[in-house]
Amino acid sequence: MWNVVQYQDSEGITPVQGELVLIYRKHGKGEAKQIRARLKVVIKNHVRAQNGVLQPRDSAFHRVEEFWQIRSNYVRILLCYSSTVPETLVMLHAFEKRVQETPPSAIATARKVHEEYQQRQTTGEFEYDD
Amino acid sequence: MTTEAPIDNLFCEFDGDVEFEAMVLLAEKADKLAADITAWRLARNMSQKDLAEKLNTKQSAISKLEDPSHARYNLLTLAKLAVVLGLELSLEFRPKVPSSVCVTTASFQTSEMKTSSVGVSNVRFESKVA
Repeated sequence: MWNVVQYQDSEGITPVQGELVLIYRKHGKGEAKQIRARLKVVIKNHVRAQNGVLQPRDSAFHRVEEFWQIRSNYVRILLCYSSTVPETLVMLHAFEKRVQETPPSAIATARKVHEEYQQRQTTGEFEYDD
Repeated sequence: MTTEAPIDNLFCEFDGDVEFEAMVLLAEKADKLAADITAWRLARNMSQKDLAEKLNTKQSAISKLEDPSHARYNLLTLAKLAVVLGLELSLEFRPKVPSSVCVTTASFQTSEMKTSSVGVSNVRFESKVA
């Protein structure tokens, strides 16, 4: 059973949470709930592995460049493998869907966050919460 | 500061909100139903256009039925699908099983598919027995 977590920066800020809030605010309250409901189900039902290996499942969960991407209504989220916890994906960047293809700028942002994530892992510039 | 944080805070805002819980339930069941419609259409060797013609609608309408993010189904449409695909449609409420999401759903089912979808739905299509 794979787990999904979100990246947290050195100040304790979770960028994906903030990005999602901005997306929700653009829509009505009912629609924002619907977007979140669908996202919750996609995370629960589509992030699945076979023999320990994650499997892409239609357009809701698939590979984009070196990342995994969760797609749900208006929301796209790019994720990478956790370098500390087995069978865990880390949300790096969330953005609103505007075009069919994942925009290069979104991938660039995810790469930037991913580099920061890896750098903090290798330099040990963090402490685990018990 | 750890580099990874749980994703609970992406959804906890609506804890206990009936509308949100219903939307999660709907999204969950729509996920299964949309996959079922696609599976049964393909099992009947029909394209989306073929099915649309039999239902006197457009191919784009079938595409929406097979896209769980739309999650808008009405019973008459489901009944028409059952007729065209030669399936039974059954609807039922049942007691909620603790710590699991069940209740209302819709799916197509024939005897040859029962082993693969046991216990998934309580609104279902079943193959007609001649």
